[in-house]
Amino acid sequence: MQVQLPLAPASRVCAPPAVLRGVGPRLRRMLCGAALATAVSGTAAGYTVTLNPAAPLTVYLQVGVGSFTGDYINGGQPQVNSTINTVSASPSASVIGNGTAQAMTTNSTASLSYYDGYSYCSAPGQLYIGGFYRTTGSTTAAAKVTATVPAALVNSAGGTIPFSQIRWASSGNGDSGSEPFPNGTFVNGGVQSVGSMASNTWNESCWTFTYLNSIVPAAGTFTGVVLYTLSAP
Amino acid sequence: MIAAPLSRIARFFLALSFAIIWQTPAQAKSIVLDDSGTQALEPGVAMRWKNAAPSRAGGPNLLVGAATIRVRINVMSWVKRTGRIYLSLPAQQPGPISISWTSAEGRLQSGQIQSGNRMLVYSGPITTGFLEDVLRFQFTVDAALIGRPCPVSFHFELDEG
Repeated sequence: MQVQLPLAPASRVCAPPAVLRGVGPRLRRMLCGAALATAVSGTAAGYTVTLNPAAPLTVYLQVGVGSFTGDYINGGQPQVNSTINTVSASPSASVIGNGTAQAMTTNSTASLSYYDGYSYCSAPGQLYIGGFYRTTGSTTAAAKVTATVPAALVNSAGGTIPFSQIRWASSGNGDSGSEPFPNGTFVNGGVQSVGSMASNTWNESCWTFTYLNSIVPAAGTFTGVVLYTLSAP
Repeated sequence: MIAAPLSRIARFFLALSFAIIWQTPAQAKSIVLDDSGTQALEPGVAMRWKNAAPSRAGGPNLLVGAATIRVRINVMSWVKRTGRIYLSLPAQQPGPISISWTSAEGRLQSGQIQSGNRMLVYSGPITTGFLEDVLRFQFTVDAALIGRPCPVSFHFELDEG
């Protein structure tokens, strides 16, 4: 780590006959002094440490409930939470298939932002989605959030409802402008983008789901699981 | 008739040349010191997020890391003299860095510094050939500046007198 420049032997610096030949004794002493001073100052090169970005990449995605040790602005740390929340609607038989959209609700109780405890979403009408992506370096590429969607919701008898019968609107208490996780409608099977996160920013939205109710399925309880994935570059 | 004005001109230039000559010794001479005996107690500095999560608005994202370094500065040439010793952090890649340090043994002063500057760590008589202390450093840098391991150099320098 320390670079030490070689100190030339005094005899070689001070008495190279080919260089100093013909120079008077007084001038020769002056030249020797100058050469030595240069050599001594050259021994100091400073100290070098290596800064290693030891924890450069951190990702956190929360859909529904999540876990933090406390609010971020108070030093809270993200935790793992394996809860799978549900979003559901139970339209009455009299309105099935009439094209009137039905509001959906969630069993998620997450309404406060873990950033600062702000009451951001209005449960049970809204589902919280948020997170962050941290990386070092000058990259500006965003992390992608995708939904892996089955082709349809299915009941016990094998009846189906296309996932495209469900859409969501994005907002957040106090928000203005665009949302990081904008409005959308599920695809009927496949992986679809639902938002992105610029590096080193906190991103969050509240989703209000709606069942479009434009088809007449068989009676029953139809379920399907959507998997949300955060992918960092 | 002509001698008097020439004399005044001569005195003017004489005074001017003295003024120039006297400026030179007043400037302190900084000498980079040999700190080849300095050793880090850890092989590198692990830089971690200062805050676990980023801000909503994407403000500064800082990495911090600590290292304990046993400093050994060769001041043999200045024994029985007085001097001021500075820790100097030259401006360098990857960009602005700040360093703070605390002294474990009290031989050197604690302090903090931004790259491109220096900070006094010792002032007074030099009584021993080596000035030694254990310094606990903290390095802070914008995460956008270091995506990979990055060497950072600092040195100690002495102002005589």
